[in-house]
Amino acid sequence: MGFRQWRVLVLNDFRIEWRRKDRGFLMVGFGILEVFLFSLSFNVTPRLSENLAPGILWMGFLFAGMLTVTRSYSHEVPYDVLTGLTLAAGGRGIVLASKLTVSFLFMMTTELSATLGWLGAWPMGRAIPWGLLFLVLSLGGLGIVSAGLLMAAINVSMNGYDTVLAVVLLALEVPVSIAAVQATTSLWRGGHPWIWIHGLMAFDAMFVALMVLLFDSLWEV
Amino acid sequence: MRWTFWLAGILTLVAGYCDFWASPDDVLLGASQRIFYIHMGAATAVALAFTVTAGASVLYLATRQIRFDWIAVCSAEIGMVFTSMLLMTGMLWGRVVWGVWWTWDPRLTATLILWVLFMGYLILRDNWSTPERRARISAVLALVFYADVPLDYMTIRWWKSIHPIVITSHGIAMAPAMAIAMAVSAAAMVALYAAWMDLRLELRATEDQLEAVKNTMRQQIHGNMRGGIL
Repeated sequence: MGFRQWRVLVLNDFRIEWRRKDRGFLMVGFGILEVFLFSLSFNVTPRLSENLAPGILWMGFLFAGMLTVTRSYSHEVPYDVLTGLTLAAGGRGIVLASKLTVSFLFMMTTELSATLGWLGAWPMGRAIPWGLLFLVLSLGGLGIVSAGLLMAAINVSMNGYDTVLAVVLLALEVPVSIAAVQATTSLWRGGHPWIWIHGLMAFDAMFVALMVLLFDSLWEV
Repeated sequence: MRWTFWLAGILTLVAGYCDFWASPDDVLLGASQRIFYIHMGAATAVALAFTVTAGASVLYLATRQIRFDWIAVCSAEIGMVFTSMLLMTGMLWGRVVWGVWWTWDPRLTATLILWVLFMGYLILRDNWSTPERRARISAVLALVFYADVPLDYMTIRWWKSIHPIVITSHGIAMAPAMAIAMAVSAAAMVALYAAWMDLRLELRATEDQLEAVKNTMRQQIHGNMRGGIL
């Protein structure tokens, strides 16, 4: 029963995106612009890329995530669809799970396309452990999305203070950004990324748990 | 005068004596070591203040009694004062010991993040005009932001940091006279927190009474206007 409702809500979000194309455009457009501008300003060489890429890429993912995830409920606000969704059978947990799935998939698409694009333009001198890189991208993406979704649920009821919320979210995401950048740097330099991967896991577990525990309190009809 | 103020006053005087007279100079850092006692005391008060905020937020979400929201916000306000004190004394100490006012060390960064988060908590509260909604969403925010408190404590243990670790698994890493000064300073700061909290909660209750009087007067004026008296 829960799975069916989750699937309906996920498909609904993709259908809205297919019609509007605003979220995808924002994420991909932001990613391309960021990579272009940084490569232009630093005159990136493969050697320089090894040092710069993790920071540049994760900064891009963080901002792209902030721009899009915090507006996860914006399509539901104008006609008060959110009230209907929260009152529908299945409860708010299903709404949360569907939003988390959609935001995470968008985030992963952005991360993978930007990372592969970067590696295509400036190949690394050594073999990349793809499995671990995918794990770091997934954990980092989940960290950005889980904290972002909590703020997005608060953003629904904001009027005029959303810029403060963005700054607060940025501060909240600093630990995940540091861990993700350090893990990616370790991977690309052939180091030991596990301490940072464990940090990412802890951050993700903490924020997903907080999201599940507190989500009901954010939306009360 | 309240007993909390008496206690805070007496403990502050004792802490001043321990910090500036009774404890010896550090062999390497000289008199600048004394900044550390105030710094450590402020850190204790910060941890306590934000823990009270988080605890009161949990209690608010469980019971929906508005007094827990007051406790949460009053404690966060006082916590912010102590966090600012913590950052400033840390910068003074860092300038003497490390030669720089600021460095992006994990501990310093986590403390600055804590300051930004709870400043955001206090600013964002103004967004919601209805007390119930403000209290509910603020409680959620406080619990999310509180996650930075244990992280801040553990940064110097988990990552490479130039920040000294004083409380270790083998005990307190300093001379007994210094450890006493540190403990008395921490007690004084906690007492100061309690005194401020006492005063701030009373002020908050007065604000609430004033708001109730204003609302009654608004309703009376509105009623008079409808009745054509004004």
